[in-house]
Amino acid sequence: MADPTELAWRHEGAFYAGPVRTTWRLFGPRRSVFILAIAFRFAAAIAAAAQVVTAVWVAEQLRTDGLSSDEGWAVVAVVAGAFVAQYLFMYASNRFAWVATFEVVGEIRIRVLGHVQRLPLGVVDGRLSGDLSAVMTSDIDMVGNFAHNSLPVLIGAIGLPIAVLTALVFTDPLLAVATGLSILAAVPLFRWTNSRFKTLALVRGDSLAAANSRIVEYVQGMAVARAFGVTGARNQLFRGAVDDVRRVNDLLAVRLTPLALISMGVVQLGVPLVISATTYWWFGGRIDAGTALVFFVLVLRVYGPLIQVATQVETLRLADAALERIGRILDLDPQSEPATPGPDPADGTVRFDGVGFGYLDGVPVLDGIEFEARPGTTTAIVGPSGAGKTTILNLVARFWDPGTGSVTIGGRDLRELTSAQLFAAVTVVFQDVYLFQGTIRDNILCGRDDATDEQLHRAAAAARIDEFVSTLPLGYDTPIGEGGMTLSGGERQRVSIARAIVKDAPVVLLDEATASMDPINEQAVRRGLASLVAGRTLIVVAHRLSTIRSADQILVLDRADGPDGPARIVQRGTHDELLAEGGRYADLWADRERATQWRATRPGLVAGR
Amino acid sequence: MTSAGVDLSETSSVELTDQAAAGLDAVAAGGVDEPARRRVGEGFALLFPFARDGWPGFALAAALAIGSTVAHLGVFYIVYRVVLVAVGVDEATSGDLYRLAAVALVLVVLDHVLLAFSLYISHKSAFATLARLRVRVGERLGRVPLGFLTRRRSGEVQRTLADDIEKLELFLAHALPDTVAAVSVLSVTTVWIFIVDWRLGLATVATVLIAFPIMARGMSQGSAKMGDYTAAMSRMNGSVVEFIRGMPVIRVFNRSGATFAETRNAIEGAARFQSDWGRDVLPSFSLFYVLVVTNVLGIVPVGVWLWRSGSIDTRTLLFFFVFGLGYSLPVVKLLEFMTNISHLTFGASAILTLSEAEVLAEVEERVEITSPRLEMSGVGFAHVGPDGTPRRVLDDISFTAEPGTVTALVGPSGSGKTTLAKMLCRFWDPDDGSVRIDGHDVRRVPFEQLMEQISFVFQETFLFDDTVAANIALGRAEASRAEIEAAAVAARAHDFISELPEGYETRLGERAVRLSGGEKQRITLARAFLKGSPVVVLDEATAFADPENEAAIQDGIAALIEGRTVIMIAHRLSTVVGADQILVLDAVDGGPGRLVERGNHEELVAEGGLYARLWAAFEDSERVALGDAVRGGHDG
Repeated sequence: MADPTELAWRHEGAFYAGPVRTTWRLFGPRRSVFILAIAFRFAAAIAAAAQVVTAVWVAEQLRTDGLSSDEGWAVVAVVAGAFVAQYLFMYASNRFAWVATFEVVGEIRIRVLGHVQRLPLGVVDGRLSGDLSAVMTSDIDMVGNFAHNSLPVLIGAIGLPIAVLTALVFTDPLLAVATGLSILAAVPLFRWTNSRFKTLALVRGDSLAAANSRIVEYVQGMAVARAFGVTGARNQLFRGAVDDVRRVNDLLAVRLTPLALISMGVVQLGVPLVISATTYWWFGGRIDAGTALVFFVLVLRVYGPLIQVATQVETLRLADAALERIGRILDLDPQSEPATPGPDPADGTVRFDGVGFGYLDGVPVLDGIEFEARPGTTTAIVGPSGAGKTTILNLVARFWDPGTGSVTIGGRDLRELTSAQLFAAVTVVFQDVYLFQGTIRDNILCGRDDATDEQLHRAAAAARIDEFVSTLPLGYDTPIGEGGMTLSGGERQRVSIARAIVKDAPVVLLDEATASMDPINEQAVRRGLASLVAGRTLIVVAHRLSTIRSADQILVLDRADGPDGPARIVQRGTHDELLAEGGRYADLWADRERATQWRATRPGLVAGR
Repeated sequence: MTSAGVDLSETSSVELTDQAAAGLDAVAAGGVDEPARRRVGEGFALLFPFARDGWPGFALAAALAIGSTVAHLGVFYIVYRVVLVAVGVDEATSGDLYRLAAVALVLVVLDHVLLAFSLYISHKSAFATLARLRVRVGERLGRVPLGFLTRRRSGEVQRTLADDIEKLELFLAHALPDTVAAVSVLSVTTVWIFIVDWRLGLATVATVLIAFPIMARGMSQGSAKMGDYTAAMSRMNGSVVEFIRGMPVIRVFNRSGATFAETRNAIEGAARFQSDWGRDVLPSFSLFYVLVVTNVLGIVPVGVWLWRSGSIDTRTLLFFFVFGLGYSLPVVKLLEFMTNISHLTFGASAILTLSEAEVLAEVEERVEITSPRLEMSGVGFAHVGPDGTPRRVLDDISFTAEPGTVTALVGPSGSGKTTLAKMLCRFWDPDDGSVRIDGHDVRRVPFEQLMEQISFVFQETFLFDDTVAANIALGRAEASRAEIEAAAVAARAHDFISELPEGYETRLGERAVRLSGGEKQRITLARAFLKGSPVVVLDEATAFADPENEAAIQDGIAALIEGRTVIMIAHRLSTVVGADQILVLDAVDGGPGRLVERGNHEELVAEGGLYARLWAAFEDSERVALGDAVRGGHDG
């Protein structure tokens, strides 16, 4: 199934423009430092080359008139001096590249995070949230690694041979051309193998991801696999996945190995070529032995660094993919918001006017939704699963904006409210409770920093957490672990209710499909919810009979046009009205009632009692 | 898959900085607190055994890599020979030089062809080894106590089985042959240059020998701050992940500003730390990497001096000028391996943890089970936490479930109900007491036979990425289509399966059709039907069902439990009212769960204990009508 969050919000990439250019763009004001780093690396390379050139000069002296004592000392001085220079340049280069990179890495993290903050919540809360963590941590690290390490290496590896070749051109243009010939031949080959690599790596990536997800599934389903006696080699899915990984890899190894070596090999073929050409011209009398010596010694210095390019290709590709993922997030459209707050909503009345919505263009989920929820009333949404009940709540909280029509609170279109104004009016009781690191007090008061201790205690009592908090050694100042892990599900839910009570927003959105809790926790949560909703506008995706029965209006959602069509409100009214009306609601109700009264018994035994 | 092979053609130090930087990263990532040399030794000792399986392939790959490197050195030798001619030390005709060029051509081709074969063979062997390793670890996971795979660790296990094992490819297919080749070539060239002239040989290796203590010093300097470094990085990562996970709540509660500022601080702190840390270690690291390759520093002065004093001839000097300058390149290969080793060893030890995890003891010989009576006597059990500390979760549990009866397990969250139920299937073995089926301790029953006796319907449904039919036939691969459909009919799943695009052949799983929680659960019920075991364990089987499906699931369950021995866990107490016996578990003050009450519903309500309180709470929460609460608040 296509991921709606990606398609609906992605537009043509503005951020990503190839690995080198995007990195360049990322560096912004720090480009000058980075250029300095690269310049120093060139200088270090030249210092290294100077030592080799000295060796060539010594060889040339040996050939002609020997080496005097002064010349010997000069050689030693030049080599030592060049070494010191090489070290200093290298250190400067490393340091500039390192410092600039990590400042940029910090900035890009903050920039991505800042952008994420302005995205529609639906985008962030969906599948993106996993991707986002990966982008924020490992992908950005990957880019940093590329910037301070591979990029200078690549530039150096291409730059040094160019410098040496230029020098060779002045020594003897014809031989220099011969030297460059194998490189010229290798360039298109390298580009071709590289694009082949990219395609094959994509194929491999996809097949491996598919096979790996089945391997992962095997671990996730281990309890089931065990209960049905299909573990290890007996599990055909697992076995098949492992074999698939091997097959895909084998196939790729056959195809990629020659590719990985061919352009390097072609470059190296320049060695016999240059030896032959030099011999030809030297014995032909066009060049002297000195020139021949220069080419013989330097030929390997030209080809060596180029081979390093090949070894950096992998890092380049990884960084490229990481940059593309970063770009995918930065290119998501932020949610519009007025710059300056207009008037606040007049009250807690929520209205849907002709609301239509779809995650993907042309695939509507909701259509023609019209209703009004007034303060002090309950609007219960019921309907089969997948009919978009939760989507209605998400539209009120502006996780998404409607495609057509409008959603208003207290007469104000949500798009005209700042998010501070919106969330002053709306509270969401999440199914998946999220608590911050900090104390219980921090978590309860997080909506309102100005709340008094009395408010805290009242909210805690209403949410039925006062009792268990009083058993804790530090009371309200007890820290709760990351994500509130040290509390049970029911306790966390109650803390989140207390938090919502303190926040005191006029509209409450609730999804009753809560994970199962033991009866005592369940009772506390229900009582807490009852305190929270008192006097507010409650819009609830209702699962409980008591909630449905007591609602002021019930909206029955269903896909009227068949399983692929959008959901509409097919019936509305109070419980009694809808029961009398018959139809979809009456069916749903009958099922719910039967489910609630079900009990596990052996029919025979009960009859015998 | 890229590999430059062993590359001796480069003596400039430019390319080395990537290793330098990678080295820094490796140090930053790995948490180094000991000299690199020791790490490498240990890492190799840890990784090498993985190659034992399939060693002929790896040995052949290494031999070919050595051959390739020798060919590569041969090219150097040819260059040395032509340089001798150019300098005038050797006499040669143009024909001689053309012949040398031809030999160079052959050597270049040989170098790459051998390397290609080496890589191909090392990869083939590596992938075969990885596949066998995966199956072996997978087998192992099927026999470890299930506690090994609790939610917290299953992520790690998944990563190990998928990614860590895959990463071994780097070692088996690349690092291993490369390293073997580098070491052998290094030994040969070292001996060779010392034979040619020991003084210049010493001058050649001097810079390499000086470089290592400098690196060790740099590393110990860096490692002093390593703890802080790791802390800063993990604080940042934690803060970022929390920010993203909590985004909806952060916005709904208007905490964006404050939380963003916190996260920003963490990010900036980490970035600052990275820069500072680099500032500390870069001087010695840069020196190390420049020194390692700058053999010229020793060769030129010593060579010139020896030559002038007449101790060596021109031929020897030129030999060192051509060969000595390339001496360090295998060292560079070794460094590359060293920088990767912390990543590799980290994964390798995770793999070893899995492949050597303790398994539940198993017996082969089948026992005779005529009547599925389940008994627990004096059962106690402790979970071992991720940090290794045991936490007692069950204590002194004794009960009997007679064949054909319904036994319900109820109690507050955390009282050990699920652990207890899972012990029946030997997902764990008790630390004290025993679990028996028809009088046989379950530890004396072959796992396969035990599984024939017991079906487990989990709270969280799990469907494999396969067809509906295959998912139903999980426990009986040989089942006919008619049997599968009959099971689906009994589980009330046949109707919706028939409406799926490809019926029973529809693929399930993440990338395929999305079923509702209730539909999934009906498929798992069909599984249990098809398996037909006399004992059924239900762990809150309707917990994740959508309301529209609940009635259908319950019809399915009612059909499934008929005539079988049933153990069920339930929070919705109305479902257990009709059970033959209700066992009430309670864990007082975070202690182990104990059986505090037992009886049928009427008896327990009358007793007025924990069950009565649970029942009262249950009835009360059923009475809370939110609609009334909304209006009540409005009125009052």
